[in-house]
Amino acid sequence: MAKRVSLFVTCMVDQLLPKAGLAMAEVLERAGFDVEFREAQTCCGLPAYQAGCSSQARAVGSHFLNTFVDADYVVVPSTGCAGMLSRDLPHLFPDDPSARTAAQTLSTRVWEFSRFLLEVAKVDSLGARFPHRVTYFDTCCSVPAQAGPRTLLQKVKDLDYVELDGPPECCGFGGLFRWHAPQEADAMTQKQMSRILASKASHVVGLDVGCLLQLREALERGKHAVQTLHLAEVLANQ
Amino acid sequence: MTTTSTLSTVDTSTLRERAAAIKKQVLANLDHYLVETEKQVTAHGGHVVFAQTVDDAVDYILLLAKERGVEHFVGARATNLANDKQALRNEIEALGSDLGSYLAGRARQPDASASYQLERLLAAGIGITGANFVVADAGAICLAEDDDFGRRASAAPKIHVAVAGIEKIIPRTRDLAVFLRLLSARFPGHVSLLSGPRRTDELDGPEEFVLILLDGGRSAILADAAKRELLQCIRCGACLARCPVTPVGQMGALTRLLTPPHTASPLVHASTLCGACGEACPVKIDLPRILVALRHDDRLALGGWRAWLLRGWAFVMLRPRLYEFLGLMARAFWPAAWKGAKPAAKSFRQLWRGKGR
Ligand code: SF4
Repeated sequence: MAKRVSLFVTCMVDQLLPKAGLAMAEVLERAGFDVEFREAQTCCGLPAYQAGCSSQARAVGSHFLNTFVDADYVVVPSTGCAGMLSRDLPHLFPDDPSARTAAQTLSTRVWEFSRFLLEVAKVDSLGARFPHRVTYFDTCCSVPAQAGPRTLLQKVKDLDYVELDGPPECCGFGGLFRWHAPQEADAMTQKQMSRILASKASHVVGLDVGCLLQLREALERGKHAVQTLHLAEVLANQ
Repeated sequence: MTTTSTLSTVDTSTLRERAAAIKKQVLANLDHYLVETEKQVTAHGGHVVFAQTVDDAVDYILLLAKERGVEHFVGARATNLANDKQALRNEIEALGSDLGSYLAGRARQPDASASYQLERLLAAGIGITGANFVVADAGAICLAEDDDFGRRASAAPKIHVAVAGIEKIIPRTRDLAVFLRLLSARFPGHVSLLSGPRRTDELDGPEEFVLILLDGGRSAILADAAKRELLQCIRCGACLARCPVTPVGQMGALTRLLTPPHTASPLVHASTLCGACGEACPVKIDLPRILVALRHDDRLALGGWRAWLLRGWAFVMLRPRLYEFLGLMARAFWPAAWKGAKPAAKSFRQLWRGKGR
């Protein structure tokens, strides 16, 4: 029997970039999994957690917990949200041992999409083809650079991979960061955009939807033709 | 295959592990190391003073000066402290919590390097320095500088007063092999290991040595599990150097915890939490987590419309139907002029249902 995976598409993919979620589902199905989507899901609670709003973060975190408590695998298309769920979720319940234990258990079953493919599904070839010049942008909290997504891109046929110059650096998105430092956020995004442009790639691939949207907006505003894509969209392409 | 191993090729990650472990061990047994330090400094002819606050340290120095009839002080950072209490206070505060050579070089008064007069040094009765490390088993302080101002201020005047936060203690002289390498990955410098006053067979050095161990709010940080790690900081500046935002202001928000009034500033919110600082830190302080912990501190919590917005956001996120409805509304009425995070034509859940699942 095929193993079952639950998608946690995140609020951002749901509302802003649904094609990344669909691509993720397709890749997982092709890798032999039964894919389900639980309608009660909304957000992981990261915005409130990072903003320091404990009670709101805890409420939304509990909602996630209740929604997925019996899931075998929860696969997430965003590095930022996956980090929140697999690392920080238990910290939301310092005074509630039973919720804390449940969160700890569930957090070990939450997987960022690319890690799931490599470490659980152990995919070899995905039958993907993508005849373009592609670069990978280390999205949210991927310091140091992550090998996983690059390994996956190397499995894609006809893909011309080019590495960005310099060490990975933040794109400037950072949730509510823009509220506090709009100018710095812009400067950071511009800097990363120049790195991307310098690579002459036609597509920039990432694993966090927040970062991808931030870069997409800057690229569009600058009238650059470079496309932003979620890794799943490249892997789903045949 | 032959492998060559030299000092310079020692694996940095091993060094970082070692450094973090040593610092953690000291902090967990700080009472023991404070006593040990006092014992060894005294055995080397020096004198240890424990100061609860910066003001206590200032008062002590002024008293010492009065007793010894000293009129001029020099500091390693500000050239002439005269008998100006506020200047002395600033100096102590800066030394106690300074960000190491990385910032000291920038923060130094512009006249300092140009007109640092030997006469002034020699005229001073008290030379005040900081300490990068306090070495418990040697009863010594270690200065690691990118110039030799501290060394001069320690050696020329009759009395050398070193001011160090209590967290700067390391257990053994040989631990310097770990820490100095982590510091010196970033700057070349002058390293001095100073213990006690001048001995009879020595040509220079002070006649009196006093080590002021400054608490300055550190024991309160130590008691706070969420922030404790911050005391591992060796002030190397690596986190600032790697920060993609506005380094000094941003990580400075954290280090301000070490200076009065021991509260971080609202700047803790001005970070994307990208993790570069934590990754760079040679003693493995989880800086992003501490930033988040500080944001959860009531005094720094978001206020005003932002707090209300997040309350509203949580209300919606707990109600999937309301959440979906508002998504539909946003699509229907999204002003064409608003680009940015424009919603997709259909949400994921609409598309998923459309596929007949
Ligand atoms: S990198 Fe770590 S040790 Fe160095 S200054 Fe920053 S917090 Fe302190």
